[in-house]
Amino acid sequence: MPLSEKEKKKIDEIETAVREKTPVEKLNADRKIDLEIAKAAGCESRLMGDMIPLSKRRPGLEDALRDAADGKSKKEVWTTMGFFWKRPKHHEEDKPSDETGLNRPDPDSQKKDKHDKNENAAPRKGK
Amino acid sequence: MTKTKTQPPGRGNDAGTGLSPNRRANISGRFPLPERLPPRITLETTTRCNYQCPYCYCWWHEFPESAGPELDTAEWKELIGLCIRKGVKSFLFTGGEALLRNDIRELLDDAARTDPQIDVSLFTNGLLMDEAMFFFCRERGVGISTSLQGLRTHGTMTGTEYGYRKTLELISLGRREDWPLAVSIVVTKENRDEIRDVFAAAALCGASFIQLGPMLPEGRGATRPEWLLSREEWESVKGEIRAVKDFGVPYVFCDEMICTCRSHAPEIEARFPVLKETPCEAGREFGVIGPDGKYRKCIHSLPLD
Repeated sequence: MPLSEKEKKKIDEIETAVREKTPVEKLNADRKIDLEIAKAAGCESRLMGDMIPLSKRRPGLEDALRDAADGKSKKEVWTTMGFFWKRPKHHEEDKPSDETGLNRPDPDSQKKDKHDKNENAAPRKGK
Repeated sequence: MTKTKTQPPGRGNDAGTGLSPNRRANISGRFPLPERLPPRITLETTTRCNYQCPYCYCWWHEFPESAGPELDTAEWKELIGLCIRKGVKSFLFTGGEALLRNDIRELLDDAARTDPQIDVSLFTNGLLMDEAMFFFCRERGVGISTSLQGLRTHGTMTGTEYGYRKTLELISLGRREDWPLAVSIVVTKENRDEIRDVFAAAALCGASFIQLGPMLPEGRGATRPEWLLSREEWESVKGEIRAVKDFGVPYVFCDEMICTCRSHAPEIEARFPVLKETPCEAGREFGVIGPDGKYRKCIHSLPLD
């Protein structure tokens, strides 16, 4: 894979931690922790995907977050697995709007195209 | 060529599929689909896999006699077109390992180009995912998901000698290229002790979303009851993940210890009682088409259920 030296170094560090049996989570994350979403959702970011029974999954994370921000859900933000991925946009105007890469469409673009609405609901996948 | 939702190119005639009208009619008969399909369909394009995960839920490990021959390229394309005509809005290509199909690019390309409004995703273990395939997917708007099943335990978790670095590289590339990459982690007794590290590695490399779930007693997993977590152990794992440093990555827990979309042995049902009966979206929100073209309502349901 065509990775930068910085990206390779990050993986090297993980491999070293695994080899030396030191906690991987102690490594420095250079990723900006975006708490804006969490605040908008009225909860801590780590709660965003918590405790989602399969039967309760409903249209995607972005919608759930918007609902939460609207006060419809405070403690429980239902989301869905991202494996039925709403097609990510990589055009300049559609770049993900936050560091999580969740590609939250802005309200205007939603108005223009109803298909921007994330309607994901997926079975678990992982093997 | 004009693209429409109801009449994608090549669907109203023989162009694009290489199938005669009689052959197409035969496919519709051979692979009867429900009158109305759920909006999201998983396509299990092959039973083949380059991993041998001992916990793999795929039903054909348990009931190989029920697995018919895999559809060929033309048959898959025709079936995908049929799904679109029945209202499907999203396809997830998987397997087995979908990248083992020589025609996977053709199939992805066909699904992605048939209708710009159709969402197309690929689930891969990442072993065969190279730079060219990554950008192929990106250019066509094909979402990518992968799995990271272990670090120190990667070998035993995948039943191979392959390392995990390739997966981390794929996740890193996704982040660098602004192409969200979801990661699945299955938790078993084998990798349970390093699950915090597995989660952290995926997050550090830039996973856009992480799903964790306990191994299910299905497929190959049905032969590895010693790898199954108890409900208490699973709750403990969840507690550990919640205690991991916040990397700002959304994650989700799948709480099901068994899937009620299929039948289980009495001892399994006794060991993992369903906590509460809740309506399942299987068959309404999502469905599955197996390698032989047969429809099921859930990836966990069996062809004979």
